[in-house]
Amino acid sequence: MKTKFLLIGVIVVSAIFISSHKENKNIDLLLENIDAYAGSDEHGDIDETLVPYSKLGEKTIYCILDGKMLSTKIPCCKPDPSKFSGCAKGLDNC
Amino acid sequence: MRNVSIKILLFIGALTILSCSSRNNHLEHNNFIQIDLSCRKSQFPLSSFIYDIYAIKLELPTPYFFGVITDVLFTDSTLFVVDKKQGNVFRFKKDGTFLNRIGNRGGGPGEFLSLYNFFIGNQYVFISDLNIRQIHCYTHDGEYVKSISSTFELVYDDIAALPNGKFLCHDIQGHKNESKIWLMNEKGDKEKTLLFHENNYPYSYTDWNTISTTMDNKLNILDPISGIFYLYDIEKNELAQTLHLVSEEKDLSAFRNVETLSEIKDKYAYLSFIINTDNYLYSIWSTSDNIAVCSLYEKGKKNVEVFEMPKMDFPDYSICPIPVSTNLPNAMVAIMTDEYPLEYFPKQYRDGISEQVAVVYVMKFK
Repeated sequence: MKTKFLLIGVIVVSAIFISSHKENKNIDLLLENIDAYAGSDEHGDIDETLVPYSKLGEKTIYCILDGKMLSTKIPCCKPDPSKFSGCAKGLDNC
Repeated sequence: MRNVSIKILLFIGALTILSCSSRNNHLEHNNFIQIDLSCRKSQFPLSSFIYDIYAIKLELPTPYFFGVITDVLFTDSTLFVVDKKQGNVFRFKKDGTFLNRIGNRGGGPGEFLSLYNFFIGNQYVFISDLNIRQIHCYTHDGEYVKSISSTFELVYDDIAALPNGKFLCHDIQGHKNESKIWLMNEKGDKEKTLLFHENNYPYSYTDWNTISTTMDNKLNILDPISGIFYLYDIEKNELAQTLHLVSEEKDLSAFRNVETLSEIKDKYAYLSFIINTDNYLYSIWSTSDNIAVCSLYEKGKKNVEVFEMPKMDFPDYSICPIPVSTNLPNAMVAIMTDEYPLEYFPKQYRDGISEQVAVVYVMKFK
């Protein structure tokens, strides 16, 4: 009886392992396709008004008003590892 | 048959353990500090935790002027004032005399497109330009020495120079499974990841640095998203979790897979700034109500005070300005430029305030 339970356990764990592996492979393939598509002549460089390898973020600015420290949020550019990311050139860095 | 099954099970178990341990995000910790931000005073006397204040008047020569100052960094005899907005670093004597500027904006050797970080090393000072992923190295007099280039895949928000020529980098927000705290070698390559991002979380950047120096060759790193404090031991090349500050509100680590704070409907509070002194932890929390709240934790008595602003009760000073990042131990440093109303300046400096004048406050903790 114990052997049967063990066998069932092994099969279940293996099935989960294999399926998750397959899912990862599918995601990798999809990303490769997107990379290839974006890297083609028609979709190569990002817009010239954008700073490459950066993306839109937000920044908190503080000021003292009526004896309190108040904050407000402004858009800013932060570095990003993706070559397909870009952020507007006129914005401050985060 | 039974033996074979057990062996297979053991093999799968070992595989699972190995795959988990290769990306271990969990560090040992037990030092929780709970801060109740709802129970707060409007003001708390500065003299309760600061024993001395002195001011340094800085004056720039034409054509320079002060913009938005984010860091004031000290050496034994000089101080560096960092204006990230304009991309300027000015060096002064400790009596306020202007000495020189570090680096220039531009595209030539030693020039930067944007000033992301300024930091001091053993021998040189550094400016990092993340737009082109370069770190420029200068003498204290501003003479360009060399540049270190990285690949564009390497990202950090704060960086510190280590005595062995390497750099400790902190990527605050990042993406799941990317490097969060990591080491860059002298050539600009990633050498070692000390901590990975567990998930994607929202964050709003501030001008405050997250890496600060301590005594004993160690660096403090604040993770504002979770409120966790890490200590990096340079000699041992080890990272350890030391403190975890939490409030009754949710911190940003409660909002997994949310990109920006504007998407959050719940109330939240997160640690934006911290000074770790011998006797105190002085913190500033950002809240969903857009009011910053200060907390003061006294290490010896384990007592916590929460307040909206420190009350300036030293003679001749009007207010306690918003602090800036510094490397000065046991001190809170602030700087007043002409962006502050004239009545906020110390009485003795009110005549002659202009865009070329700034007053540095050095407030020493008890």
